[in-house]
Amino acid sequence: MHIYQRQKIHWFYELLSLAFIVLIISWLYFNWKINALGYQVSNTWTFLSSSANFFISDHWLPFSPKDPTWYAILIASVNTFILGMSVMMSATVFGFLFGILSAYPKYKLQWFASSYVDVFRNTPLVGQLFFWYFGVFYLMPQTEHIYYDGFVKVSIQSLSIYTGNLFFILSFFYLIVGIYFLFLKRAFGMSLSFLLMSFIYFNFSHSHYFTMSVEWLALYTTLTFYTASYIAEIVKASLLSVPNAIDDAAIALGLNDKDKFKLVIYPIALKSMRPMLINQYITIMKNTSIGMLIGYPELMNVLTGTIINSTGQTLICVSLMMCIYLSVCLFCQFLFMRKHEPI
Amino acid sequence: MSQYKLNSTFIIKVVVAVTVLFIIAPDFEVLRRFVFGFGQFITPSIFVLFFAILQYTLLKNNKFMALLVWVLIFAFILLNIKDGWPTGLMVNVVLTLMCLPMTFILALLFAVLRFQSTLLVLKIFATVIIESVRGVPLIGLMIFILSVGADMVPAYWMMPKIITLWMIYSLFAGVYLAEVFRGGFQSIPKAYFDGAYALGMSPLKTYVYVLVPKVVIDTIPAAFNVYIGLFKETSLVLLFGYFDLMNIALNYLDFPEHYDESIKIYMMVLILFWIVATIMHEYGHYLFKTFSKYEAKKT
Amino acid sequence: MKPLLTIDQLSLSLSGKEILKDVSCQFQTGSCSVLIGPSGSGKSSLLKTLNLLNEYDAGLVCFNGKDIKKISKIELRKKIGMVFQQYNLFDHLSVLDNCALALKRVLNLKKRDAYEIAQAYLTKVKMNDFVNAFPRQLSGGQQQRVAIARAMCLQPEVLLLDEPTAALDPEMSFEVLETIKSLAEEGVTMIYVTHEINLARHLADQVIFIEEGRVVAQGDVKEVLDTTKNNRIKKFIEQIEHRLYGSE
Repeated sequence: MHIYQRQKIHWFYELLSLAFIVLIISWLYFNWKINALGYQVSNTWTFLSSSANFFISDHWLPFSPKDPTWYAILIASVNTFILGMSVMMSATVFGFLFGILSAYPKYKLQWFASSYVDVFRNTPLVGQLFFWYFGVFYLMPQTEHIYYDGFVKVSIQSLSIYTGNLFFILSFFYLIVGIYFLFLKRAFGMSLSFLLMSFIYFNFSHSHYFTMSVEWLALYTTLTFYTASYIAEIVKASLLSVPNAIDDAAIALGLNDKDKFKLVIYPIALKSMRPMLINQYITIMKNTSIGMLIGYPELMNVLTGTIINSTGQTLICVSLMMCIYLSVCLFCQFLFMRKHEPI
Repeated sequence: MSQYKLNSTFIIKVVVAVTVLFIIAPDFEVLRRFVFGFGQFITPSIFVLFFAILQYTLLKNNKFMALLVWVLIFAFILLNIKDGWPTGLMVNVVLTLMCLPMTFILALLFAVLRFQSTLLVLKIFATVIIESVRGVPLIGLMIFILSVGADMVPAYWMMPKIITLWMIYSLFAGVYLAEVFRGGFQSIPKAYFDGAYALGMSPLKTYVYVLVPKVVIDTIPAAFNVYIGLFKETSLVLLFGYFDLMNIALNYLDFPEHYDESIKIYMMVLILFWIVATIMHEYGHYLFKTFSKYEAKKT
Repeated sequence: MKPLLTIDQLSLSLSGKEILKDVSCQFQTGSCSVLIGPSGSGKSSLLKTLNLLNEYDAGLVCFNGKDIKKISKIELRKKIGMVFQQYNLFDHLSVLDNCALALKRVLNLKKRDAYEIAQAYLTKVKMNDFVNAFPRQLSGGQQQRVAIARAMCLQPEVLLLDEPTAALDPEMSFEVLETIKSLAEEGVTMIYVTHEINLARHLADQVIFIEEGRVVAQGDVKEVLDTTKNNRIKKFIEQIEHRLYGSE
């Protein structure tokens, strides 16, 4: 009898293990109760609706310190979300580029692509972040000699680009597309994201400059290069895992190199790389939390740094943080992972 | 016996990296401080010696000796913590090496409990732990342990910091390794169960003597990816105020006269991490080649 | 003489599907019984049931006069060895370790004794030159002989053989059959599932024909294979011989 197929329930062992787990958890709980008595503040959720009283330096939506704390958490979540999304897009582009380059020896740049992957995969993310933030972006001009030529403004705090009315036009365009999708069937999520983007772009259109803080730039660069190396490895492995016989069959059909890649090899490789890519995307969302180390106001920093410091509600904030990250991860898994998909 | 051949590109890579390291280092003293911290040469040397003995016992397949050496290593670490050792790169290396066996045990436990167990309660428990650790970034887990988890053990235990870190990292890497082992267990054909049961082995014996050895050997490359990830994540111990390589570099750059060296210093840090990670990678390759002899030829 | 194994009105169903219905037969000590029948008829399931790898629903299986459900599984399996169609060797262990594993872990012998016994049985199946090889490095026939040695190491009272030559080409199956014949001459009790009619004629003391989970005929070789009046068996034998000797 195979062990997976055994259906019998062993009540005694079930209850025994349940009792064991309950014992451990209650032991931890009572320890916590005793230890936390000394400095416990009463745990209340009311602080979420009272005003935040702190400032968030980077925000895509309008924010002032008088706004409630839950709104500050929302702002931080939007920061995390937009950072993650931008990294996803650029890392995918870079990753596919380097992956394809490093998969085939016929490309002259193979050595470069593979050493790129080697270097960025084998060094810690935190080290790379500090390298970019304290090393490279530290070379940007100090406050007294800001570079400004009417179109770009570069200083040690931020990078501004003149955009004119571009964001107003984009916002208007996205609004129309969003409303159009609203009337289509099964496109509600799509329409919602277009409307959100429209709203965010509308906020940019107050100023004629698009400003990115140096923290954002450093995080964006770090995460892009770091994740791209992982994606490149995935792409390379999937491309190489396509059997040679399929390659031969495509040549026998008379396809040229470009068509062979586009029509035969790439679709097969894409299927096997999909779950791993989604795992990487989830990892990006989790990795944005290192923004805490350089003071970028993303979710982890605001929720477990600033808010705990100002209110002292440690338990609630920490559990809220864990719940948010957990639900995002589980939601992504639920959304993208199709089980038993044949490859 | 072993089919492993030392890779020439590996040697060239490491030699080039070390050369670059010596070129960009401001002076030898800085480099020494980055690697060994504020401690002496002698302690890490004894530590490395222990691991050489461990490697020898593993190759001779002497499990009792290997266990004894692990116990000695732990005793050695516990005795030496109070002297402010380890610091520098040794923190990352020592922490990783400490975590290896615990990660391994936890991962096996979680993998078996979650994916092979017939006890529903344990299955749910393992699933909850695995999913909640996987779903939260390591920084979040650390903040949880620092702020809430630290109160969950009796106050008189006075746990040394490195033991707390050891537990966090073992749990974190163990959960990821469990997923790797899950794949290994799933790829085992049903024939293994039949074959073992027909010889009169109980399910427990089948797991201990047949399935686990096979899964462990099969998943060496994937497991070493997890171990390298663990090594890289140890750079986050600076949240605990521990003087690891990264924190020593930050400390060094605090002085105004070193401000303009920042790119160099961070490159040094990255190269040091890179060298150790590459050596780990090659070691995993070596282990796989040595222990998976049976994969050599297919009929 | 008292039979070694008795099956009485056995029925078995796996995942809701009825596989064996009212099977009754007996196996004598030192005899060689051959189970034949079309594929999917439940021969292998019957064999696995004797070993309790399948748990049966109704009926009675007695080993040495005792109900096998009342003997502990491990004790039972020590006394009933089994050889599988796909060898079921452990790929990560060498040939010697494969054989010594059960001796070390099930019989709790000392390492040296276990290896001695394993070596002896490997010599018996003429695999003593390959003790340090790994199963993947061997040919199919060699692997099957190792599997037989592994089963014989525990000195079982009965050896169950589940189509040991079905996955092998004729040349390889020859060497396995030689091994099996030599075991039969030594007087090992065997229950053998096969399509090889010629081997059945040569070896069998008893032939049992199974179809769709029922015993259609049982008796000695002549009774079942040559002088049978059952049309279904005649057709089956004809087909097999046709396949073996082509259109001559």
